Amino acid sequence: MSYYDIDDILADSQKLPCKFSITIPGLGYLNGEPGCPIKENVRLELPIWLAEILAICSISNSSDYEENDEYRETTFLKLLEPEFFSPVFLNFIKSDALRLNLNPYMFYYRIVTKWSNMFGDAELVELISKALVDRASELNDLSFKLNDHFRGGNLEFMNNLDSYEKQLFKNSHKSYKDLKIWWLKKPN
Amino acid sequence: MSLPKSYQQNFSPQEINFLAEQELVTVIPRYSMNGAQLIGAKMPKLRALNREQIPLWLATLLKKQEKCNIVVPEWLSVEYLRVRYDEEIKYPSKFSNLPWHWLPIAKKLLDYASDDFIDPPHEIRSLLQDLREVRLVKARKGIRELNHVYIQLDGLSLMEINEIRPFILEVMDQLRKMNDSLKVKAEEEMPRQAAAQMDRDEDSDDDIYQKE
Repeated sequence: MSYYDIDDILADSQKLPCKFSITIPGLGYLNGEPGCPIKENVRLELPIWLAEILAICSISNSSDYEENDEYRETTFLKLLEPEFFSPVFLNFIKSDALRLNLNPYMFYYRIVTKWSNMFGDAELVELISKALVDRASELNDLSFKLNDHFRGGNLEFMNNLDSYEKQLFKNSHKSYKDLKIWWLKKPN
Repeated sequence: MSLPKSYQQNFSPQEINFLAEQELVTVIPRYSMNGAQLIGAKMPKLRALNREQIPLWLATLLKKQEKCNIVVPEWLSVEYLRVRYDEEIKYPSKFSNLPWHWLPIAKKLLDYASDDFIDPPHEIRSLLQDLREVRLVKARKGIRELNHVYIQLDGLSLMEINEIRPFILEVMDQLRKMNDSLKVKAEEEMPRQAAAQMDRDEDSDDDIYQKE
């Protein structure tokens, strides 16, 4: 999560579905209609960095405040539950984390972190943590056994890694390989 | 930093090998030699056939020039290693106690001083290999129990820890990041609860005053 972390910037540009709660004039270019207002209840996919700030920033309607003498607050948009946090998807993780395809989401674990930063969903974090440990131990086995990548379901598993897991695989594999090379090296 | 990232967090096997070479071993010199003050280590005055303790790197150097014999440490015997191997099999959740640098020292001695071994070196070599594999399987089994706060690696040597370090560090870091994100949310809610708590405290104070 550092300022210079390219992966973090890329993860920030992944899109989340959201719904506008008010009509905003002139913002239609987000929806591919430049010049038009964006209507209330329009569903859009916005990058995380934009959606987050719009979902958090609250706007108050000052006229309402005076008339009704009650403080009404609303935000620009509401975040909807993305497909990869839907109950169906989470049930899939529960049943078999190893067959899960994270490749399309690229930075799944980072997105989970950002999501729980906003919503503090302990159940989700616990579930994903467990899935990560399951997947990581499988990954570790594969990174040790050099010739097993293409056997059975392993190829599918290797294609389903997200970018963090790919890096993990690479580092772990390199470490095992370095030690093996050192151990087998003949004295000169 | 210009070092590749994997070398910033981790030692390479060669670096650990270098550290292990500072360990002392007992040698039996064949000739008498004057001592010398070296950077870091001191070579004592060597008298023929008198046992001395010198660093491993110096011992292998003298051995290569055939100026000494190395006394192989007692843990590098078939008997000792077999007992350890049986222990590893007997206690599946524990690592047996081996020297901190057992891998590099054993390799170095097998490579350069195999004629000084009392037991046949090939037997030792295969026992070491068995030990290493059994311990590695255990260490990797432990990965299934990883969590974001705590890991226990009793009895593993530096080389073995180093081998699984990049993997374990990264997984634990990711788990920690995910769990920390929960705290951010919790802390945001904290001030409100704290304020509510304060209100209640003040109320109770009022009660006391009223009673008085």
